[in-house]
Amino acid sequence: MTVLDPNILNPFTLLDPHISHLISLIITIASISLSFIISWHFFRSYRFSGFGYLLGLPVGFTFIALSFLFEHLSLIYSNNDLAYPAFFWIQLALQSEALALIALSYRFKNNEDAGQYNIGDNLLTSTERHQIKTSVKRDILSSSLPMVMIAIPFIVPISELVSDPDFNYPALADMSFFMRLYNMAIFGYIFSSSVLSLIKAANIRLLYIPAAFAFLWLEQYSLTITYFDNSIVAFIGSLIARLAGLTLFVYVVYNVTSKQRRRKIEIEARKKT
Amino acid sequence: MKLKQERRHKLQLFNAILCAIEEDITINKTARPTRIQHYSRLSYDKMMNHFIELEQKGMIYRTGDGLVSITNKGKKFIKQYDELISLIENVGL
Repeated sequence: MTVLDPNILNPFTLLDPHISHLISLIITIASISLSFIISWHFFRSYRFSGFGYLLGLPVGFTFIALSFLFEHLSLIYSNNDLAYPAFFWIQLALQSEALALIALSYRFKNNEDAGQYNIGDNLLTSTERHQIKTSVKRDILSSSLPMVMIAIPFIVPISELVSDPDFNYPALADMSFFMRLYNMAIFGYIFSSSVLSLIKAANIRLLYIPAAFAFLWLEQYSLTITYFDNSIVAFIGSLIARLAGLTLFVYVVYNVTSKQRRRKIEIEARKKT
Repeated sequence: MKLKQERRHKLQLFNAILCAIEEDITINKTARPTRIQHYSRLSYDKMMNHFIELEQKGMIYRTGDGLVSITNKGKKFIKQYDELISLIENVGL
């Protein structure tokens, strides 16, 4: 019986070496395709509307697709002492940055909604002025949050690289654990933002997207379990959760186009009455 | 008591006008500015300004007798707008 390395970087190396490359290739192709489909639909919406807050989603999903590519590359070069940790490092940084960008879309949308009030300055009472001052302070605090969200996935891997340019495997594995915790926190934020927004819009039946984010959260959670005990079951669970989350996302995106037909049917029905 | 009407984004206004034209054509075979005004809930002056802009963008065309028609580009706009709104609603943005 072989003893597993306690500091496994790419969990695909836990699988049987004869099939791990093939499984990784299939999962990577599926994940990249699904991510690009999602990214393309959001990019089209951004290009059409010009709404800046939408840009985080296409860029985020493109980064996620690239992170899957680097994950596969790290497996291909798992025998190369330089390429293996380097590709793994890039994958981690890209994935966390991608999630931060997606979270930013939700963050900026919330800010936009909160700022939709117009009050004539001369009509304000002292209480209202105080409330506005308090909200400005709160805005300053909350506006620094996006910068922190973007900075963490950039600074943590860079500091790791600077402190240890030779790619120390155990340190990288530990970094991957902390980055996954960060990813889970970000997914938690995205999940709560999307659920709250759907509840506000009385659109509770459209909980597919929060469910998709929940699956992607589950992927990160399973990967943290894999970090602790090198569990193949947890790793396979993470792959299933990832594909389920992305597929659900694509399903919603395709469902959007089927709504077009409904409007035509409505007009036709009105014509008949 | 004065009711505050929510300000509409330009894309929303264009969509309201184009949908009104499409609906009027589907129901009455022709689209008249007065009926479009009724469907789109806009003031006549504002609507005429938007007509000029939509005409410049090639989304509608006006005939000599005052009737309005929608072009393929206009129909494409409606489709893309519906897609955008559906996507934003579904994603919870």
